[in-house]
Formats: sequence, structure tokens, C-alpha cells
Amino acid sequence: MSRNPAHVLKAPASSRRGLPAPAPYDSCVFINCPFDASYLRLFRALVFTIQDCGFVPRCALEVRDSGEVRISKIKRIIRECRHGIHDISRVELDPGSGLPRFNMPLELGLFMGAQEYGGREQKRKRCLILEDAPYRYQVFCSDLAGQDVSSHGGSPDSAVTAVRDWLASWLCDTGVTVPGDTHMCERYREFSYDLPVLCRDLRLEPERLLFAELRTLVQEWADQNP
Amino acid sequence: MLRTIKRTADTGGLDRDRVREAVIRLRERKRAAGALLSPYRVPHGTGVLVARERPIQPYGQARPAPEALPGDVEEEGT
Repeated sequence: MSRNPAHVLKAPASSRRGLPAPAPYDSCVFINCPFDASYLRLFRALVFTIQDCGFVPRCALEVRDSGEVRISKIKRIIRECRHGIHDISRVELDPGSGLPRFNMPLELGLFMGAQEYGGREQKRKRCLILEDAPYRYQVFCSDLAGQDVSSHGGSPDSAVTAVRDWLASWLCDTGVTVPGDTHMCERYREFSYDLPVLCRDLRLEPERLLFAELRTLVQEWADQNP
Repeated sequence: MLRTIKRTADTGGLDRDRVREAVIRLRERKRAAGALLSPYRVPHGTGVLVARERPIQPYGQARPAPEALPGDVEEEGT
């Protein structure tokens, strides 16, 4: 048997455990944000804008597999995404525990670590950091001072604009154009208006949509309403 | 070059064709509703149905709720 390390069988593609092949690295956008009901409007705005700009939104909710450790899943998705959106606005104390939640800053750190210490492909990563109010992050995460951070003020329109501008700035080098922010905000409002009707037609509950279901609905809606 | 909408293999168990049909159905209903609301609608008996891209929101009036959208609308003059 050969002892050449190059002949050693590689592990199955980054331990994806039989999942479908991921979308191309350059088109995947990792969403790092709160997943609770109070953030739902902004979360949908992020998913819609990413998809409507021609990218593929991804997040920790995309696979529900109790056999995969959560942090391993997050690291795998971060590795497969070139772009990342990190909303670090949730700094309030959890009403149940009285403690803050640190998941978003942790995942932002993982993403920036991959960008810093990863291979050539990982170094091409780019991210958008979102906050609620301008400059507030400098108080609770002063190491981020000097980064460009966009604030959305809790408004889906502002989130759509921030994400659209960020993705469009990358696309302008590729010759691909996306609708302007005003038009995209209108499209998002139109989609929000249509979503309950579509869910009723498909016998789904709009407030309890799985991430993959929401993504499919956005994909088909955006495709049929160019 | 305009962007293209990318699709993923994982649909969360939804039948993509069913979703597409639902989206098209709703789009057609909205077009028909827009045509009904439009002041430029072609009068009955001309055999032409004018459909607008979006439901029109007349000045000072609330947009119709999704539930208020009419069902299937037959083409006039056919």
C-alpha cells in the first residue's frame, strides 16, 4: 500500500453527511443574526435581499440534524460561504436568564478568524457588520472600532438597503447589475404582502416557516416577478 | 447583465413546481385585480383584457387586502 500522503483517501467532502452539494463558494452568504420572533421581519428582509441580488442565503437553521454538533455545523457553513452578514445588534439581556447572548459576536469572530488564518480561498472572505444604532458597537465591542459597520435602526428597509449596497458593490466588478435600493425595498414590501397568501395556498404557516421553505418561496417569487 | 436568481437543491421539503404554480396564480390574480381597478381598463365587449403589473393604489385609498383580491377572472369577450 502506498505511503505517499497524497494517496491517502480524503475524508468525505468536509463531512457533509450526505447533504446536497452546496452552492458555489462565491455565491453563498452566511447570515449570523438572532433567530427569535422579534427579529423575524429583519431576518426575512436579509434573506429576500440576498436572494434577490442573485446570491444564496445560508444560516445555521438550514439543516436540522441532531447528529451534527451546532458549532461544527456553523463552522462548516462559514467555510462554504465567501460572504457573511453579521448583525451584532442584539445586546439586550435575555429576559429569561438575565444574561446577554454572545452567539453573534462569537460567529463573527469565527468568520474573521477564517479570513485571517484560512487558506487562499478563505482569505477572500468579506463581511458586512450590521448594528442597530451607529457607533453603539464601539461601547460593547471596542475591538471593532475602525471597521465599517452599517446601522439598520430595526427597519427592514434600512437592512435591505445596507445588504443590497454591499452586495452590489462586489457585483459591479463582475458586470452584473441589481435593482436599486428603492426598487428592491418596494419588491420586498410586495413579497411581504404576498407571503401570507402564498402560505395559505400552500398550507404553510407564515410565522413558522422553515428557513429552507422561506428560501424556496423567495427564489420562486423573485424568479416569477423579475 | 442582470443578475439571475439562484436556486438551491434543498427546498425544505417543498415541491418547487407547486410553489411556482402558487406564485404564478397569485401574480395573475393581482394583475386581474389591477386591471379591474385601473381607470384605463378597456370597456366590456372589446375582447381585450388589460392587465397591469401591480394592483393600483388609488390616491387616498388603502390597498386591497390580499384576502379581498378577486379569484379567477375570465377574459372578457371570450
